[in-house]
Amino acid sequence: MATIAARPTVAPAGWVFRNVWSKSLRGYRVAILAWGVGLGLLLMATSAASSSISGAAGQLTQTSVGQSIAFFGNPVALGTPQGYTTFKFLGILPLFLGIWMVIAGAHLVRGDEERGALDLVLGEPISRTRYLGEKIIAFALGTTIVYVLITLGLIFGLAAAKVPVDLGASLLAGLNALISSFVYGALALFFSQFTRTAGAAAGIAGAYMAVDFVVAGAMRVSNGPEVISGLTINFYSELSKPIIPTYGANPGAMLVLVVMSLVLVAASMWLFVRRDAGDVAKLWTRSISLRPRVAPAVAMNRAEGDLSLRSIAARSLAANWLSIFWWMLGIGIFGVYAVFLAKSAESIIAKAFKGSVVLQGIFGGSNLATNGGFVQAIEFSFIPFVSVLAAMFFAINWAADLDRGRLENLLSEPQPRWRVPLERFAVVIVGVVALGLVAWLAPLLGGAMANFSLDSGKLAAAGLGMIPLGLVTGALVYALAGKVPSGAILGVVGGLASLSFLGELLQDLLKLPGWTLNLSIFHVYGQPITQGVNWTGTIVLLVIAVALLAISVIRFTREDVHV
Amino acid sequence: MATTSSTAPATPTTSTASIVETDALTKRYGSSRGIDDVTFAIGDGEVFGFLGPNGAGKTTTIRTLMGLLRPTAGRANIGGLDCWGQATEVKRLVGYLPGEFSFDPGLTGAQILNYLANLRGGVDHTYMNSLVERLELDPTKKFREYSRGNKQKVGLAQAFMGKPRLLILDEPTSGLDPLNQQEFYKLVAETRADGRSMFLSSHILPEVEHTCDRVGIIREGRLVKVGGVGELKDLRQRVLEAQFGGPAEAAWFSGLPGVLSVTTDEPKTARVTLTGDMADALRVAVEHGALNVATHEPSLEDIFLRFYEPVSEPVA
Repeated sequence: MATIAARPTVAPAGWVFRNVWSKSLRGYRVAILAWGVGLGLLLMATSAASSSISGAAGQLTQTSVGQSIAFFGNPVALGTPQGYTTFKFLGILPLFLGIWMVIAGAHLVRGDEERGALDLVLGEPISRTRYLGEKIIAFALGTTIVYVLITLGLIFGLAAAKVPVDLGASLLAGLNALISSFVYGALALFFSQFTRTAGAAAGIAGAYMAVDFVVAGAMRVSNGPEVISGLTINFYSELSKPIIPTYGANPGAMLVLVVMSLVLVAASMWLFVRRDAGDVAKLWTRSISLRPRVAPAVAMNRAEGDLSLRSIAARSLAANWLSIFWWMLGIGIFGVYAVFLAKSAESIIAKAFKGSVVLQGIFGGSNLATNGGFVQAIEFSFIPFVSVLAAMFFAINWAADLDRGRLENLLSEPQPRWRVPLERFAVVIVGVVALGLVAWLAPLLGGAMANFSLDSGKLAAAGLGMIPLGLVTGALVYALAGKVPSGAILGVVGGLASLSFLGELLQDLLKLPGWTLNLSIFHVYGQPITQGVNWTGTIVLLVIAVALLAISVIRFTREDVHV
Repeated sequence: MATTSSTAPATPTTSTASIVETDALTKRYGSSRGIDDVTFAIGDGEVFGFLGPNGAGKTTTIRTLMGLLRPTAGRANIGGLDCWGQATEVKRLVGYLPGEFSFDPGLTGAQILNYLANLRGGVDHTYMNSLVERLELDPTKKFREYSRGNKQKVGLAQAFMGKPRLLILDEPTSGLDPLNQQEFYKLVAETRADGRSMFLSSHILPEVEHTCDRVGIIREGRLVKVGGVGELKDLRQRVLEAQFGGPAEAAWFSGLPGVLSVTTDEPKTARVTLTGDMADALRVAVEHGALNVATHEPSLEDIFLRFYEPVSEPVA
């Protein structure tokens, strides 16, 4: 007698796989914990230490300096722990939380489309409205968990600072940060309806977020017309300072933020249910193709002469040049603007900040009494972080290609395997070097235009000193690629960069042990303009970058390539 | 005996014996099965078909040959070169079409072909252009705008354009319309006429029957049969179909010598698969009043399916 061998049975799926929203929420679990716990702990540390510095910082509001530092946020009640915590952390929190929101919002639908999963899901009897609706519910639930963690950090921190804790005000403060950053996420979702890749949508929304922050800051400094500042998201975010008893929340401003999010979500939904799956939304139908019809033979001849198709490195650069260009443009404009801002505040700042260690601490240790110090505070305490994020985006395509199994064909050509990741890494090298050059040259240009004296050598040290930061970040992405999904890499590396940056920004408050500070790449970068280049740190960063890249290349040459 | 160092420039063998050789090739994914103890060889100028259902190990075998997967045990050589240790040199000899052809969606067909031609080197652009014409591919479109069939045409063109010594094609006619399938068969014939070799996996048995010299059948990671197409068909099996006036019973034939299986899916018809002498089966059919008796050779499909009958295990 014979029996048929038993076939494996399908184990019953857990509850998370029963709905689109629960499955999507599952995908956010690592990012939610990383961003929520990380930012929550930093907020707790900042608010806990705020009472020790707020008294001295309060002097600022008594002088005209208050107007000048308004670029970073409205300095209200800076002499109180609540006011100081709001200025130092809660004001910029939407910007950092916005990084995750932008990444998650851009991947909400486009991520599934890139993976080819959307066709499968929509092949089930589920409407597009329900699909996107459930995705948005998952996104909102994820952000709510982050909100709870951040608000808990604020409450515990204020309690540690022996400040009477107003639970309602703390909840509102967290909510204000949440809904402000959610708008950026909704904006990324909206942009993703018009882009082929989630990365492009995240890049555009991220750039918009940076411009929004700069324009709002510039309007505050220059008392610019509300007609312009009212167009920025940051303006409405800044109108609410719930934990400051004398200021409070602005329900109207918070409502505007909620309405902005709802409008963007509704518009995204409207576009999504009307466009082709996998394609971009077209607001009008072209009756005549704008692309002239090319004969096949001509197309083949043109491709034969195309220099960008001669090598993997050339192809990678051609695919990324637009992205590199926009990052360069953004950093260049900001670099010129920072000099004009420094020029306008030169005399006030120099007078008020001379010798004030407390006030230097507010700006990460920069001595704003000098021209270079002010440019250091405004530009080079911020641009290195931007450059690190840019390097992360330059490198992420490698991880995404490994995820999608797009290298199968490339690897079937007679190229040594080690050359493929190295040639692809050329994009990261070119990108971060270009950003370093722009960060060096743009302030020089601004200085020439504004007749503001700046030391070219020191600016070169600050600009080119950013290169190792970008290389380490790019190499870290490469080291994680193939082991961790590209979306998770964005969350993890973006989260590490944000925590590292915030840790450095808040170092005077947090009073962390020296060895922990050295874990921050931004601490290793230091302040090249005012304190010179940290050569040891720079070499260490370069060695780490080479080591991470070597790990990535060795692993890639030894391991299976998956499809 | 001379040996070739892994760092020294490798020279492919010019032996006419085998272009592909595997010996006890095994690939496991952790505790999961991939392929196990796969041994076969493909001669120069031979077209070798690789048959098996989904998950049997066809693609794992192909990707191991391409140096994309590292063998857990055993070895795989192409042109005398080790597929993992000398993968770059191996790929100079091979044109490859993966099972799922995916590429940068923003590039046109023309750009993809030229890019891959540049990476390969030595590609005759006139021949590449002729392939584009023969396969009726519009090279001006971006990859994302192509249908599945057109993506497959790009894949086929890039695999053939270097006139490689060996073509490894995973499901080559998948998504192609009948006209382009015919063009593909012509390309196969030209490749064979040039004395070049092919290794192709397929589900389409008539295609394998018509294009291949030999066939390997893989089942649950193990190569269960390798033989010439004619050899496989000539396993001395015959099928006898007998129609009766009343219900046919399997028991009439099941005890006869040489009978492999009897089916009575249609109530009045007995389908008997047997080896050896047919006389006893014919006699039994006549004894039970058969109205019509027909015999024929089993198709490759019949043989293929026989290899995929459920695994039977004796009960202790």
